[in-house]
Amino acid sequence: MRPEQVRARALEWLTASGPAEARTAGLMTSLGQELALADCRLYVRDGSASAYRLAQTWTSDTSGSRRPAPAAEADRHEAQLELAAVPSAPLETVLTQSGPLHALRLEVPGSLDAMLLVRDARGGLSRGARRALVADTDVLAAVVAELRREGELERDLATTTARAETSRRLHGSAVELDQFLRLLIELAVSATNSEAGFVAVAGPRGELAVRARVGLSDEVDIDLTAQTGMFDWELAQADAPLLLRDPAQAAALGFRSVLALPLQERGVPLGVFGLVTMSRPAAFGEQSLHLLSSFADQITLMLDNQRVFAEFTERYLVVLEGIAAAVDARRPGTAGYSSTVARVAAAVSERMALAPQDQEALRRAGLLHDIGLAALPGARDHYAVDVEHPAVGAGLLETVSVSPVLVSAVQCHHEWYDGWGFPHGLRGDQIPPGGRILALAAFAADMRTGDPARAAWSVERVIEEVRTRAGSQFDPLVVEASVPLLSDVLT
Amino acid sequence: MESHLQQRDGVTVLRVVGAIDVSQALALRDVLGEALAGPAPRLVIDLGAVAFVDSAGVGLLVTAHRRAAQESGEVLLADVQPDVARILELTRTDRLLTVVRDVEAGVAALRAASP
Repeated sequence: MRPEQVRARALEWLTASGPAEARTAGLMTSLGQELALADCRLYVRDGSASAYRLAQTWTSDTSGSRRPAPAAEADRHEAQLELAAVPSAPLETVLTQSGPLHALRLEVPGSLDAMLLVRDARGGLSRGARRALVADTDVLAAVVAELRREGELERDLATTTARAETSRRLHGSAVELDQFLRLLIELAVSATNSEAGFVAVAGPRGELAVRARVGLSDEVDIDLTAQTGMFDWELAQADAPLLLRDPAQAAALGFRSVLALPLQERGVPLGVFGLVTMSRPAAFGEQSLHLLSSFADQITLMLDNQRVFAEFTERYLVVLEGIAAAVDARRPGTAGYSSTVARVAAAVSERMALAPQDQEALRRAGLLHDIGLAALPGARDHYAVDVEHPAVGAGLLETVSVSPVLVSAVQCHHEWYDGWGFPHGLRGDQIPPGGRILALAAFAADMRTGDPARAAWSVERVIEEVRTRAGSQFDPLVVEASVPLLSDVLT
Repeated sequence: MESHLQQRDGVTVLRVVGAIDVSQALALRDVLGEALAGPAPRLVIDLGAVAFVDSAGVGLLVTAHRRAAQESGEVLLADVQPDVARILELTRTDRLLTVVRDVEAGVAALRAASP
């Protein structure tokens, strides 16, 4: 086998489709078959571990058939490789429990320390195989390092996604929360012979806002401002009492009685549960107070679950952002690309006066728009990757209850305004506004960033090209909003 | 709701009859203002005939307690019915207020504490 064949096979497996572990197995099979080996093993040393751990094997068994095996199935081999000394020369013989093998150290500083152990059927190694392996040690090391890194990304992604799915099933979505809150208020109103009820939820800065109401029209504007609103509640203080600040304020809303309970869990203020009568006196007997207390407990539990789930969602997004940044860093010259997309998307959405929460959703969409690429690493069919990654990315985000603006923007960031984009060929207003903004942001950042095949464009050229594509690739309104600020944001 | 103010051995006693809710709170606020006038006010609020207190009522009781404390005085709640006690507990105001068994116990406690 000629050395260039080892290199070609290694690069083929690097860019092939499928999970990284399967591609590593493919690489081992290629080496085993092309170099006429009987035994080929890959040991990897993690961090400061003293021994090398078996990661992948390939053997030709006595019947002549050959098979690759991941480490778990490799019962015929030692799981650990303890070396008295790292071999000083390439393919030096090392002694293992199953006999002598030739060891080739594959090393990428800071990334990979591995040993490739090989032998042929006679326990030796042909001159051709020896020459091919030595000549392309660096390429093999780089490919194995990259495959292992992709494998780690895949595992991170799989773990995070599984956790998110579990959490979603346990805690339900935000929509379900609102439905449950209304149901519990209805039951409490009925059980206590009240006429209306509401649940106000404490926000991250302790501000209260009505989340669900029953029997109160939207015109009934309950002022919940901390210093002047209906309730006097020291949110910063654990287990603080809840007081009605001014009866006149409640009377002005037409309330005859209001019984409001503070909802707290482990000292954390979560919200207020209030029951109201308008036309008759309240009638809370022992039984209805008991019911009221148990409804308050249930609402507290739900709000606490929601809070925990929101914290989980935030952590999930941060993990995905880290993975997206790792994908950027993997390609030469594209480090920081997603951050640029996020900056452009946020600036354009602010200029277009989108709601603040939608601006934030689009900033995150910028960071995460190519997350689908992490789930399709190294696929051979680049066209398929291009076409599928928006939907795959949106699928990863849909797993948790994030803003629909974020999900739809990621889903649509390759759609063209004139309908010639992908994956669905949507056109004009069929593309959600966030998708139209993100499409321009991703294009501008991409052109400004450049890659090994194309030098980065100047800001002026990016702006000119964006202008030219108004009405075809981009929404003219988004172009109009972007052009004045691209120079600042991209510089 | 009805309210009756009287003096017993130098202690003011306010007897309330009926529910204390939003609709009654403004009237009771005026009565409490009267009862707490002057320096170092000492007040026993007799809740023996009060079956229900809503958040407005709870707010008034706590305000009365705080205002008296600011003037070096004291407010005690007497004969609190179980449902009302439960409401004070649910609104977490039970720890702010001092409850005594009955009016006599309240008057005795405030007399003993007087200078």
